[in-house]
Amino acid sequence: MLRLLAKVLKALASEQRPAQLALAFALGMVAGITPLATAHNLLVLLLVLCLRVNLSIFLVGLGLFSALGLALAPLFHHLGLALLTAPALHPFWTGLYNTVVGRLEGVNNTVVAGSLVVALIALVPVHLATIVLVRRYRDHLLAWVQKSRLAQLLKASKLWRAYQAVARVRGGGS
Amino acid sequence: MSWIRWPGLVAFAVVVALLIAGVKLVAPWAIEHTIESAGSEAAGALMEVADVDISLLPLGIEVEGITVADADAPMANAVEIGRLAATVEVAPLLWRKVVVDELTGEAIRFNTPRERSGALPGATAPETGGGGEVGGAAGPAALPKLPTAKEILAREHLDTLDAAAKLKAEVAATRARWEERIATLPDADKLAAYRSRLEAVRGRAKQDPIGTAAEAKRLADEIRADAAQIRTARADLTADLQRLKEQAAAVQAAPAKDAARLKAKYAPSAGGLGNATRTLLGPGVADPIDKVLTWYRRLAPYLGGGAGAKEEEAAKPTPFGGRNIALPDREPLPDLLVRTAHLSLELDFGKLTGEIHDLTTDPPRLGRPTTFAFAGDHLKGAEAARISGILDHLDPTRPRDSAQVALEGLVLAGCTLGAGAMPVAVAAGRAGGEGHLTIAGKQLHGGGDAKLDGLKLTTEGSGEGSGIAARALSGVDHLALRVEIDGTLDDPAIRLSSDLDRLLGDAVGREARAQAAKLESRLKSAIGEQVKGPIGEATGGLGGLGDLDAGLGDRLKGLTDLSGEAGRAALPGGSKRVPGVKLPGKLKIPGF
Repeated sequence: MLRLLAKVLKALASEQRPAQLALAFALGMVAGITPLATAHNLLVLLLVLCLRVNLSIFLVGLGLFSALGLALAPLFHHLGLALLTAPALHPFWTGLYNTVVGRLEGVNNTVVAGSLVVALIALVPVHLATIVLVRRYRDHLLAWVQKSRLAQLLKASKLWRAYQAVARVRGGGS
Repeated sequence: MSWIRWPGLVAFAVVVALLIAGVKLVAPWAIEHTIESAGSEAAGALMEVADVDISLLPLGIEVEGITVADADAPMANAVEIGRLAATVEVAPLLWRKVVVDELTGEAIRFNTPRERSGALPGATAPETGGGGEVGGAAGPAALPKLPTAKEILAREHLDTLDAAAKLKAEVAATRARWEERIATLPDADKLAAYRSRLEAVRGRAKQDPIGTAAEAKRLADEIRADAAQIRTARADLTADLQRLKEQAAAVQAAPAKDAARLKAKYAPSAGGLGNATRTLLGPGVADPIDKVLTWYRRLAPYLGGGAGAKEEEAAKPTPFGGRNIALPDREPLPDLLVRTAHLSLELDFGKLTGEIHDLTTDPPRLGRPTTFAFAGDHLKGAEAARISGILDHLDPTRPRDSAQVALEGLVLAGCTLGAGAMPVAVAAGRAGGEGHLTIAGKQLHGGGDAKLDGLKLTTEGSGEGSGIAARALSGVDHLALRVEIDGTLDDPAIRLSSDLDRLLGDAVGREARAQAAKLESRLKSAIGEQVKGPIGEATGGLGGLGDLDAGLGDRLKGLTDLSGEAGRAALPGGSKRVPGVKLPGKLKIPGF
């Protein structure tokens, strides 16, 4: 946990673009809020691994939204049920269900459909909001955090030093 | 800073490769386990698979060394398949449908021996019920060993004894009744009393002729009334005697009837030789039909149709919670479909190759029936063989399956027909014919005709009829066989008929008739001996009744004579009476 926190603080303090960090968080949100063993999460994994996004931020997002997704599962079920049984949307769902992607995804499941719709709707707003938050953090909070006792403690720990050493060998980045 | 992280792409490829490797490693084991457990459940006996391999491009599965034990004979395999290879369509797998585009089955053999029992743990003894009963009755061919007359009489009840006992009781009752009745009739004492009165009248005739004539007339009237009473009784007794004599005659004839009845029951007859066809040819015809029906019964549930499968699928619990909404398939596919199966069947008489099309667990969803056709030419044991048919379960409530079979030049040499007391070895011969079978719901309808030519038959049995049958069979060089199948799947009835019955019937019928006559003669003698006593006792009682009749005759004669004397005494001067003549003084004596 400490290690993850250190990584997050480092990422926020790094030169990585806010958009990269925000994308990692948004992808974590998608993977977390929807059932994990679904096909779209394989795509999310591919994007996380192939795009230069921060893995620590992704994991934080995944953890946070998994907990949220678990709590909101009944809500997603009702939303999914309403969407899947809406007569106006029946052709859309039937069409999607009869595609390879639809079958792999299991879109006829109420929780999958409800959570996926919420995740897709929230993807861009979460991404944009996270960009804004990262920028504001860097502008207003970064200096204060770096001087804080928590940051000092983390920097003083053996773990932090080891991490810094590895990061230097890798050339920094994530 | 670039957005692309190439090592990540490699990592993703590694993850995917690991997944594929996992599938490649685990899938064969899982498939093998699934095949063995599901197959064993369906077959009711152990199903084993030697090896399973899967290929990814194209997606396929190869299974080797499949053995399915025979539930009725666990030390034999009902089916053994050397190799099964299937190419599976990938896209339908995403729909959770297994669509086998092409299935190849090689070295498919039936009834092969096993080294260890294929019975399932806890399986009960095989049930042979539901199998075809040939002709509806079992029976030995030709002439069975005849029981002796003594053995027959020991186990049979004779009607003669009943009739004799009944007659005896009837005679005794009749006698008792008549003895009682005769006791009430005028007897010798009364006759003596009449005579005394007549003598007294005669003694007074000279003193009082008018008065004594009137008294003599009264006496004559009384005597005649008594005589009439006895006459009526005698007529009744005669009628009873006649009835009892008729019964006695029936009792005397009863032994012959008993003998005829028992002869009909125990003696061989040419009519009973209808057994020959089903005893000699029944097993060879009924056993394969029975096997086919047994397998059909086992596999029928899988040929049915998945009405409601969509709803069941929707009702299944899901790993994500929530529930699955039933959405329509644009291109409905059954859960399991084998589009084409190329199979090679290694039967006793040679190898048949053929195809099965549209084999599925859900024909209504596919919209086409399953069809199959197998053929083989120039086989080691036949010139040609054809099997084809349709499994039509498009309407699950009204399934209708049919098959046709045609065989040419089936080599019969080396076969043994029948069993038990009269097995018949076929030294040479060939068979050919056609047959069909339709199973509509559970109702069976089928039949076929076969011709057996160039036959050379020898009997091996030692039964009483073997010698006769051997002589008859040695002259048989061709046969025509007809098979009719009906009844239900659970209770099939297989009827066989052939000219073997007639051929054997002619030969054995003569012998049967001779044996029947001999048996009847022995039975008559034995029955006569057994019923002699009871019949004698029954008819002997009739003599007693005759004595009663004679006694009544004596009484009647005495009374008649006395009434004549009394009548004469009533006439003046004791002149002879003239019946119905008007007497002087307008005196008329009726009957005189």
